[in-house]
Amino acid sequence: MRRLLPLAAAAALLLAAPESALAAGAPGSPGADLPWWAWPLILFVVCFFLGIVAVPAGVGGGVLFVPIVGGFFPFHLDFVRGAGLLVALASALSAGPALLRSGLANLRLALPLAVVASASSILGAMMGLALPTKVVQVALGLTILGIVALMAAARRSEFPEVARPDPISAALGMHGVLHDPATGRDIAWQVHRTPVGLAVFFGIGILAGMFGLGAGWANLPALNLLMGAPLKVSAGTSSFILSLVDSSAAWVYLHKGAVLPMIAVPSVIGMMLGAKIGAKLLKVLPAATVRKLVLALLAFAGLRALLKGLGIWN
Amino acid sequence: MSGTEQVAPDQARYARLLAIGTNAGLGMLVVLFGIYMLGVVDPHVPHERLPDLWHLPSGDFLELARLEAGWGWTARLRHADILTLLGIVTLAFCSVPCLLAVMPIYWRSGQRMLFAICGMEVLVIVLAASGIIGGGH
Repeated sequence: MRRLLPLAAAAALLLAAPESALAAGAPGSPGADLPWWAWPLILFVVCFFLGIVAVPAGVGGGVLFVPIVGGFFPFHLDFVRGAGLLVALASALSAGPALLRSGLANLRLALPLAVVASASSILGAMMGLALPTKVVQVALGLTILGIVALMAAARRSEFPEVARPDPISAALGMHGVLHDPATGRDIAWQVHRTPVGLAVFFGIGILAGMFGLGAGWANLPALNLLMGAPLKVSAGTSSFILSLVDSSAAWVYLHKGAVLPMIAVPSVIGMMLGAKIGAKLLKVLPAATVRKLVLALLAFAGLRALLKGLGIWN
Repeated sequence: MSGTEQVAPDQARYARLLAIGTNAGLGMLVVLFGIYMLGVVDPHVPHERLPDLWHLPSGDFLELARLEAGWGWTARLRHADILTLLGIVTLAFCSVPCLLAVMPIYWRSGQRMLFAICGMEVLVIVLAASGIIGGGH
Protein backbone atom coordinates (compact mmCIF):
# COMPACT_ATOMS: atom_id res chain seq x y z
CA MET A 1 0.00 0.00 0.00
CA ARG A 2 2.84 2.36 0.91
CA ARG A 3 4.32 1.82 -2.55
CA LEU A 4 1.16 3.24 -4.10
CA LEU A 5 1.37 6.46 -2.09
CA PRO A 6 3.47 8.37 -4.67
CA LEU A 7 1.00 7.28 -7.33
CA ALA A 8 -1.95 8.57 -5.37
CA ALA A 9 -0.10 11.87 -4.86
CA ALA A 10 0.67 12.06 -8.57
CA ALA A 11 -2.92 11.35 -9.56
CA ALA A 12 -4.20 13.95 -7.09
CA LEU A 13 -1.75 16.50 -8.47
CA LEU A 14 -2.66 15.73 -12.04
CA LEU A 15 -6.36 16.00 -11.46
CA ALA A 16 -6.61 18.62 -8.75
CA ALA A 17 -3.92 21.20 -9.47
CA PRO A 18 -4.62 21.78 -13.13
CA GLU A 19 -8.39 21.59 -12.50
CA SER A 20 -8.15 24.79 -10.48
CA ALA A 21 -6.68 26.41 -13.53
CA LEU A 22 -9.22 25.03 -15.92
CA ALA A 23 -10.48 28.25 -17.40
CA ALA A 24 -7.57 30.41 -16.47
CA GLY A 25 -6.63 31.52 -19.94
CA ALA A 26 -9.00 34.39 -20.32
CA PRO A 27 -8.65 37.49 -18.13
CA GLY A 28 -11.06 37.43 -15.21
CA SER A 29 -11.35 33.64 -15.12
CA PRO A 30 -10.58 31.55 -11.98
CA GLY A 31 -6.81 31.11 -12.35
CA ALA A 32 -6.10 34.39 -14.10
CA ASP A 33 -4.86 36.08 -10.91
CA LEU A 34 -2.00 33.59 -10.58
CA PRO A 35 1.44 35.09 -11.26
CA TRP A 36 2.88 34.20 -14.69
CA TRP A 37 5.59 31.99 -13.17
CA ALA A 38 3.06 29.74 -11.43
CA TRP A 39 2.06 28.12 -14.72
CA PRO A 40 5.47 26.86 -15.83
CA LEU A 41 6.07 25.71 -12.26
CA ILE A 42 2.80 23.74 -12.10
CA LEU A 43 3.54 22.37 -15.57
CA PHE A 44 7.02 21.26 -14.49
CA VAL A 45 5.67 19.46 -11.40
CA VAL A 46 2.87 17.74 -13.34
CA CYS A 47 5.29 16.66 -16.09
CA PHE A 48 7.73 15.38 -13.46
CA PHE A 49 5.01 13.08 -12.10
CA LEU A 50 3.90 12.12 -15.60
CA GLY A 51 7.52 11.15 -16.33
CA ILE A 52 7.64 8.98 -13.18
CA VAL A 53 4.49 7.02 -14.02
CA ALA A 54 5.17 6.81 -17.78
CA VAL A 55 8.15 4.46 -17.38
CA PRO A 56 6.57 1.69 -15.27
CA ALA A 57 3.33 2.06 -17.25
CA GLY A 58 5.26 1.44 -20.45
CA VAL A 59 3.84 4.46 -22.26
CA GLY A 60 5.57 7.42 -23.86
CA GLY A 61 5.49 10.82 -22.19
CA GLY A 62 4.02 12.54 -25.25
CA VAL A 63 0.88 10.44 -25.29
CA LEU A 64 0.16 11.38 -21.65
CA PHE A 65 1.22 15.00 -22.04
CA VAL A 66 -1.06 16.23 -24.86
CA PRO A 67 -4.47 15.09 -23.57
CA ILE A 68 -3.74 15.91 -19.93
CA VAL A 69 -2.10 19.31 -20.40
CA GLY A 70 -4.43 20.11 -23.32
CA GLY A 71 -7.47 19.25 -21.22
CA PHE A 72 -6.61 20.85 -17.92
CA PHE A 73 -4.25 23.77 -18.56
CA PRO A 74 -5.12 27.16 -20.05
CA PHE A 75 -2.77 26.84 -23.03
CA HIS A 76 -4.10 26.65 -26.58
CA LEU A 77 -3.94 23.19 -28.14
CA ASP A 78 -1.44 24.46 -30.76
CA PHE A 79 1.16 25.13 -28.05
CA VAL A 80 0.36 21.91 -26.20
CA ARG A 81 0.89 19.83 -29.34
CA GLY A 82 4.13 21.69 -30.13
CA ALA A 83 5.38 21.01 -26.59
CA GLY A 84 4.15 17.39 -26.76
CA LEU A 85 6.22 16.78 -29.87
CA LEU A 86 9.29 18.22 -28.15
CA VAL A 87 8.71 16.11 -25.05
CA ALA A 88 8.57 12.97 -27.23
CA LEU A 89 11.52 14.14 -29.36
CA ALA A 90 13.80 14.93 -26.41
CA SER A 91 13.01 11.60 -24.73
CA ALA A 92 13.64 9.65 -27.95
CA LEU A 93 16.90 11.49 -28.68
CA SER A 94 18.20 10.92 -25.15
CA ALA A 95 17.46 7.20 -25.28
CA GLY A 96 18.79 6.84 -28.86
CA PRO A 97 22.56 6.43 -28.33
CA ALA A 98 22.23 3.71 -25.69
CA LEU A 99 19.59 1.85 -27.71
CA LEU A 100 21.78 1.91 -30.83
CA ARG A 101 24.91 0.77 -28.98
CA SER A 102 23.04 -2.12 -27.32
CA GLY A 103 21.54 -3.23 -30.62
CA LEU A 104 18.01 -2.83 -29.25
CA ALA A 105 17.41 -0.14 -31.86
CA ASN A 106 18.21 -1.29 -35.38
CA LEU A 107 19.08 1.39 -37.95
CA ARG A 108 18.32 -0.79 -40.98
CA LEU A 109 14.90 -1.68 -39.61
CA ALA A 110 14.17 1.90 -38.57
CA LEU A 111 15.29 3.99 -41.53
CA PRO A 112 12.84 2.86 -44.26
CA LEU A 113 9.88 3.15 -41.85
CA ALA A 114 11.11 6.48 -40.49
CA VAL A 115 11.35 8.07 -43.95
CA VAL A 116 7.71 7.31 -44.67
CA ALA A 117 6.50 8.35 -41.21
CA SER A 118 8.64 11.55 -41.24
CA ALA A 119 7.13 12.70 -44.52
CA SER A 120 3.59 11.94 -43.39
CA SER A 121 4.15 13.59 -39.99
CA ILE A 122 4.73 16.88 -41.82
CA LEU A 123 1.42 16.37 -43.56
CA GLY A 124 -0.23 15.56 -40.21
CA ALA A 125 1.25 18.64 -38.55
CA MET A 126 0.02 20.87 -41.38
CA MET A 127 -3.46 19.35 -41.16
CA GLY A 128 -3.54 19.68 -37.38
CA LEU A 129 -2.58 23.35 -37.47
CA ALA A 130 -5.01 24.13 -40.31
CA LEU A 131 -8.13 22.39 -38.94
CA PRO A 132 -10.45 24.19 -36.50
CA THR A 133 -9.42 23.59 -32.86
CA LYS A 134 -12.75 21.94 -31.98
CA VAL A 135 -12.34 19.39 -34.77
CA VAL A 136 -8.80 18.59 -33.59
CA GLN A 137 -10.07 18.28 -29.98
CA VAL A 138 -12.74 15.76 -31.01
CA ALA A 139 -10.25 13.80 -33.17
CA LEU A 140 -7.72 13.88 -30.32
CA GLY A 141 -10.31 12.58 -27.85
CA LEU A 142 -11.32 9.74 -30.16
CA THR A 143 -7.66 8.89 -30.88
CA ILE A 144 -6.78 8.80 -27.17
CA LEU A 145 -9.75 6.56 -26.39
CA GLY A 146 -8.66 4.33 -29.27
CA ILE A 147 -5.10 4.22 -27.88
CA VAL A 148 -6.44 3.20 -24.45
CA ALA A 149 -8.42 0.36 -26.05
CA LEU A 150 -5.38 -0.70 -28.11
CA MET A 151 -3.05 -0.64 -25.10
CA ALA A 152 -5.50 -2.53 -22.91
CA ALA A 153 -6.13 -5.24 -25.49
CA ALA A 154 -2.83 -5.56 -27.37
CA ARG A 155 -0.91 -8.78 -27.07
CA ARG A 156 2.88 -8.84 -27.28
CA SER A 157 5.16 -11.53 -28.58
CA GLU A 158 8.71 -11.86 -27.24
CA PHE A 159 10.03 -13.63 -30.36
CA PRO A 160 7.44 -13.69 -33.16
CA GLU A 161 7.88 -16.41 -35.74
CA VAL A 162 8.83 -15.13 -39.18
CA ALA A 163 9.18 -18.01 -41.61
CA ARG A 164 10.52 -15.99 -44.52
CA PRO A 165 11.48 -12.33 -44.91
CA ASP A 166 9.68 -10.43 -47.66
CA PRO A 167 11.76 -9.26 -50.65
CA ILE A 168 11.94 -5.61 -49.45
CA SER A 169 13.16 -6.43 -45.95
CA ALA A 170 15.67 -8.92 -47.39
CA ALA A 171 16.99 -6.32 -49.85
CA LEU A 172 17.31 -3.67 -47.14
CA GLY A 173 18.99 -6.00 -44.64
CA MET A 174 16.22 -5.56 -42.06
CA HIS A 175 17.43 -8.38 -39.82
CA GLY A 176 19.79 -8.88 -36.90
CA VAL A 177 20.86 -11.01 -33.96
CA LEU A 178 19.53 -10.54 -30.43
CA HIS A 179 21.16 -11.99 -27.35
CA ASP A 180 18.57 -13.56 -25.07
CA PRO A 181 19.84 -13.32 -21.48
CA ALA A 182 17.25 -15.86 -20.29
CA THR A 183 18.67 -18.70 -22.37
CA GLY A 184 22.12 -17.23 -23.06
CA ARG A 185 21.58 -17.82 -26.79
CA ASP A 186 21.94 -15.48 -29.76
CA ILE A 187 18.69 -15.47 -31.68
CA ALA A 188 18.62 -14.37 -35.32
CA TRP A 189 15.57 -12.31 -36.28
CA GLN A 190 14.07 -11.07 -39.53
CA VAL A 191 10.86 -9.25 -40.48
CA HIS A 192 8.04 -9.69 -42.97
CA ARG A 193 5.02 -7.76 -44.33
CA THR A 194 7.22 -4.69 -44.98
CA PRO A 195 4.87 -3.13 -47.59
CA VAL A 196 1.96 -3.23 -45.11
CA GLY A 197 4.32 -1.96 -42.41
CA LEU A 198 5.27 1.02 -44.57
CA ALA A 199 1.58 1.85 -45.13
CA VAL A 200 0.85 1.59 -41.39
CA PHE A 201 3.82 3.87 -40.58
CA PHE A 202 2.46 6.42 -43.05
CA GLY A 203 -0.72 6.57 -40.96
CA ILE A 204 1.24 6.63 -37.70
CA GLY A 205 3.24 9.63 -38.97
CA ILE A 206 0.05 11.56 -39.72
CA LEU A 207 -1.30 10.96 -36.21
CA ALA A 208 2.05 11.83 -34.59
CA GLY A 209 2.28 15.12 -36.49
CA MET A 210 -1.37 16.05 -36.11
CA PHE A 211 -1.62 15.53 -32.34
CA GLY A 212 2.02 15.87 -31.19
CA LEU A 213 1.57 12.58 -29.34
CA GLY A 214 4.75 10.70 -30.07
CA ALA A 215 3.72 7.35 -31.46
CA GLY A 216 5.37 4.57 -29.48
CA TRP A 217 1.91 3.19 -28.71
CA ALA A 218 1.47 2.45 -32.43
CA ASN A 219 5.09 1.80 -33.47
CA LEU A 220 5.56 -1.04 -31.01
CA PRO A 221 2.61 -3.25 -32.08
CA ALA A 222 3.32 -2.47 -35.76
CA LEU A 223 6.93 -3.63 -35.46
CA ASN A 224 6.26 -6.54 -33.10
CA LEU A 225 2.90 -8.01 -34.10
CA LEU A 226 2.68 -6.93 -37.74
CA MET A 227 6.28 -7.12 -38.96
CA GLY A 228 7.48 -9.76 -36.53
CA ALA A 229 10.47 -8.04 -34.91
CA PRO A 230 11.36 -9.33 -31.39
CA LEU A 231 9.69 -7.36 -28.59
CA LYS A 232 12.90 -5.75 -27.28
CA VAL A 233 14.06 -4.75 -30.76
CA SER A 234 10.57 -3.38 -31.47
CA ALA A 235 10.59 -1.26 -28.31
CA GLY A 236 14.09 0.13 -28.96
CA THR A 237 13.55 0.73 -32.67
CA SER A 238 10.15 2.32 -32.01
CA SER A 239 11.79 4.90 -29.75
CA PHE A 240 14.52 5.56 -32.31
CA ILE A 241 12.00 6.06 -35.14
CA LEU A 242 10.30 8.71 -33.00
CA SER A 243 13.53 10.73 -32.92
CA LEU A 244 13.33 11.12 -36.71
CA VAL A 245 9.56 11.44 -37.12
CA ASP A 246 9.18 14.07 -34.41
CA SER A 247 12.17 16.04 -35.77
CA SER A 248 10.33 16.60 -39.05
CA ALA A 249 6.98 17.51 -37.46
CA ALA A 250 8.62 19.76 -34.85
CA TRP A 251 9.86 22.07 -37.62
CA VAL A 252 6.30 22.67 -38.83
CA TYR A 253 5.20 23.67 -35.34
CA LEU A 254 8.30 25.88 -34.96
CA HIS A 255 7.62 27.68 -38.23
CA LYS A 256 3.96 28.24 -37.35
CA GLY A 257 4.88 29.80 -34.00
CA ALA A 258 3.35 26.88 -32.07
CA VAL A 259 6.44 26.26 -29.91
CA LEU A 260 6.36 28.48 -26.85
CA PRO A 261 9.53 28.04 -24.75
CA MET A 262 7.63 28.92 -21.55
CA ILE A 263 5.44 25.84 -22.10
CA ALA A 264 7.80 23.50 -23.95
CA VAL A 265 10.97 23.73 -21.84
CA PRO A 266 9.52 23.08 -18.34
CA SER A 267 7.60 20.18 -19.88
CA VAL A 268 10.70 18.63 -21.46
CA ILE A 269 12.85 19.06 -18.34
CA GLY A 270 10.11 17.86 -15.96
CA MET A 271 9.30 14.81 -18.05
CA MET A 272 12.95 13.80 -18.50
CA LEU A 273 13.78 14.17 -14.79
CA GLY A 274 10.62 12.25 -13.89
CA ALA A 275 11.49 9.47 -16.34
CA LYS A 276 14.90 9.08 -14.67
CA ILE A 277 13.20 8.64 -11.27
CA GLY A 278 10.61 6.35 -12.88
CA ALA A 279 13.35 4.12 -14.27
CA LYS A 280 14.92 3.84 -10.79
CA LEU A 281 11.52 3.03 -9.24
CA LEU A 282 10.82 0.40 -11.87
CA LYS A 283 11.64 -2.47 -9.50
CA VAL A 284 9.73 -0.95 -6.57
CA LEU A 285 6.49 0.23 -8.18
CA PRO A 286 3.87 -2.39 -9.08
CA ALA A 287 4.03 -1.98 -12.86
CA ALA A 288 0.69 -3.65 -13.61
CA THR A 289 -1.18 -1.43 -11.15
CA VAL A 290 0.59 1.69 -12.41
CA ARG A 291 -0.31 0.77 -15.98
CA LYS A 292 -3.99 0.37 -15.07
CA LEU A 293 -3.99 3.73 -13.26
CA VAL A 294 -2.29 5.46 -16.18
CA LEU A 295 -4.71 3.94 -18.69
CA ALA A 296 -7.62 5.13 -16.53
CA LEU A 297 -6.09 8.61 -16.39
CA LEU A 298 -5.56 8.56 -20.15
CA ALA A 299 -9.17 7.47 -20.74
CA PHE A 300 -10.38 10.31 -18.53
CA ALA A 301 -8.21 12.82 -20.41
CA GLY A 302 -9.38 11.44 -23.77
CA LEU A 303 -13.01 11.77 -22.70
CA ARG A 304 -12.31 15.32 -21.53
CA ALA A 305 -10.78 16.21 -24.93
CA LEU A 306 -13.76 14.70 -26.73
CA LEU A 307 -16.34 16.51 -24.59
CA LYS A 308 -14.36 19.76 -24.79
CA GLY A 309 -14.32 19.50 -28.58
CA LEU A 310 -18.07 18.81 -28.66
CA GLY A 311 -18.67 21.83 -26.42
CA ILE A 312 -20.19 19.67 -23.64
CA TRP A 313 -17.42 20.17 -21.01
CA ASN A 314 -15.60 23.47 -21.43
CA MET B 1 23.60 -7.87 -21.81
CA SER B 2 20.78 -7.55 -24.28
CA GLY B 3 21.43 -6.81 -27.87
CA THR B 4 24.04 -7.77 -30.40
CA GLU B 5 27.48 -8.85 -29.24
CA GLN B 6 29.28 -6.30 -31.37
CA VAL B 7 28.00 -2.86 -32.35
CA ALA B 8 27.73 -2.44 -36.11
CA PRO B 9 29.90 0.47 -37.39
CA ASP B 10 26.90 2.42 -38.72
CA GLN B 11 25.10 2.16 -35.38
CA ALA B 12 28.24 3.08 -33.41
CA ARG B 13 28.92 6.18 -35.52
CA TYR B 14 25.28 7.30 -35.44
CA ALA B 15 25.12 6.79 -31.65
CA ARG B 16 28.30 8.79 -31.02
CA LEU B 17 27.12 11.82 -32.98
CA LEU B 18 23.57 11.59 -31.63
CA ALA B 19 24.86 11.70 -28.05
CA ILE B 20 26.87 14.85 -28.83
CA GLY B 21 23.96 16.58 -30.57
CA THR B 22 21.39 15.65 -27.92
CA ASN B 23 23.60 16.72 -25.02
CA ALA B 24 24.40 20.01 -26.76
CA GLY B 25 20.70 20.67 -27.46
CA LEU B 26 19.52 19.82 -23.96
CA GLY B 27 22.38 21.78 -22.38
CA MET B 28 21.53 24.85 -24.46
CA LEU B 29 17.85 24.45 -23.62
CA VAL B 30 18.48 24.45 -19.86
CA VAL B 31 21.01 27.33 -19.87
CA LEU B 32 19.05 29.59 -22.24
CA PHE B 33 15.77 28.91 -20.45
CA GLY B 34 17.47 29.79 -17.14
CA ILE B 35 18.57 33.11 -18.65
CA TYR B 36 15.00 33.68 -19.89
CA MET B 37 13.30 32.82 -16.59
CA LEU B 38 15.69 34.85 -14.46
CA GLY B 39 15.30 37.91 -16.68
CA VAL B 40 19.04 38.21 -17.31
CA VAL B 41 18.21 39.20 -20.90
CA ASP B 42 14.94 40.95 -21.80
CA PRO B 43 12.38 38.75 -23.59
CA HIS B 44 10.55 39.87 -26.73
CA VAL B 45 7.20 39.09 -25.07
CA PRO B 46 7.27 40.17 -21.42
CA HIS B 47 6.69 37.35 -18.93
CA GLU B 48 3.62 39.05 -17.48
CA ARG B 49 1.96 39.25 -20.88
CA LEU B 50 2.15 35.53 -21.65
CA PRO B 51 -1.04 34.50 -19.74
CA ASP B 52 -2.98 36.90 -22.01
CA LEU B 53 -1.61 35.23 -25.12
CA TRP B 54 -1.04 31.52 -24.57
CA HIS B 55 -4.72 30.60 -24.78
CA LEU B 56 -4.84 31.94 -28.35
CA PRO B 57 -4.16 29.95 -31.56
CA SER B 58 -0.53 30.20 -32.68
CA GLY B 59 -1.44 32.45 -35.64
CA ASP B 60 -3.12 35.00 -33.37
CA PHE B 61 -0.23 34.73 -30.93
CA LEU B 62 2.28 35.59 -33.66
CA GLU B 63 0.19 38.56 -34.76
CA LEU B 64 -0.32 40.02 -31.28
CA ALA B 65 3.29 39.33 -30.27
CA ARG B 66 4.48 40.93 -33.53
CA LEU B 67 6.44 37.86 -34.56
CA GLU B 68 6.80 36.41 -38.03
CA ALA B 69 6.21 32.80 -39.07
CA GLY B 70 9.11 30.76 -40.46
CA TRP B 71 12.68 31.83 -39.77
CA GLY B 72 11.70 35.44 -38.94
CA TRP B 73 12.52 34.82 -35.27
CA THR B 74 16.25 34.70 -36.03
CA ALA B 75 16.22 38.48 -36.43
CA ARG B 76 15.23 38.79 -32.75
CA LEU B 77 17.88 36.60 -31.15
CA ARG B 78 18.84 39.40 -28.76
CA HIS B 79 15.69 38.55 -26.78
CA ALA B 80 15.83 35.73 -24.21
CA ASP B 81 12.59 33.98 -25.21
CA ILE B 82 13.65 33.83 -28.85
CA LEU B 83 17.19 32.80 -27.90
CA THR B 84 15.76 29.73 -26.12
CA LEU B 85 14.52 28.48 -29.49
CA LEU B 86 18.17 27.78 -30.42
CA GLY B 87 18.17 24.80 -28.04
CA ILE B 88 14.96 23.49 -29.59
CA VAL B 89 16.32 23.96 -33.12
CA THR B 90 19.47 22.03 -32.16
CA LEU B 91 17.38 19.09 -30.95
CA ALA B 92 15.19 19.15 -34.07
CA PHE B 93 18.22 19.17 -36.38
CA CYS B 94 20.73 16.93 -34.57
CA SER B 95 19.70 13.77 -36.46
CA VAL B 96 20.85 15.24 -39.79
CA PRO B 97 24.65 15.08 -39.12
CA CYS B 98 24.17 11.52 -37.82
CA LEU B 99 22.44 10.45 -41.04
CA LEU B 100 25.06 12.16 -43.20
CA ALA B 101 27.81 10.42 -41.23
CA VAL B 102 26.50 6.89 -41.85
CA MET B 103 25.87 7.42 -45.56
CA PRO B 104 29.52 6.78 -46.58
CA ILE B 105 29.43 3.47 -44.66
CA TYR B 106 26.45 2.31 -46.71
CA TRP B 107 28.01 3.55 -49.96
CA ARG B 108 31.32 1.77 -49.37
CA SER B 109 29.59 -1.50 -48.44
CA GLY B 110 27.45 -1.37 -51.59
CA GLN B 111 24.16 -0.84 -49.74
CA ARG B 112 22.91 1.75 -52.19
CA MET B 113 19.26 1.49 -51.13
CA LEU B 114 20.07 2.32 -47.51
CA PHE B 115 22.31 5.13 -48.76
CA ALA B 116 19.38 6.53 -50.76
CA ILE B 117 16.96 6.13 -47.83
CA CYS B 118 19.33 8.09 -45.55
CA GLY B 119 19.51 10.79 -48.22
CA MET B 120 15.72 10.92 -48.41
CA GLU B 121 15.39 11.26 -44.64
CA VAL B 122 17.93 14.11 -44.66
CA LEU B 123 15.95 15.74 -47.46
CA VAL B 124 12.65 15.45 -45.57
CA ILE B 125 14.10 17.04 -42.41
CA VAL B 126 15.95 19.76 -44.33
CA LEU B 127 12.85 20.63 -46.37
CA ALA B 128 10.77 20.79 -43.19
CA ALA B 129 13.44 22.92 -41.51
CA SER B 130 13.64 25.27 -44.48
CA GLY B 131 9.89 25.83 -44.35
CA ILE B 132 9.57 24.93 -48.04
CA ILE B 133 7.24 22.10 -47.04
CA GLY B 134 5.11 22.43 -43.96
CA GLY B 135 4.63 26.17 -44.25
CA GLY B 136 6.45 29.10 -42.79
CA HIS B 137 8.52 29.74 -45.86
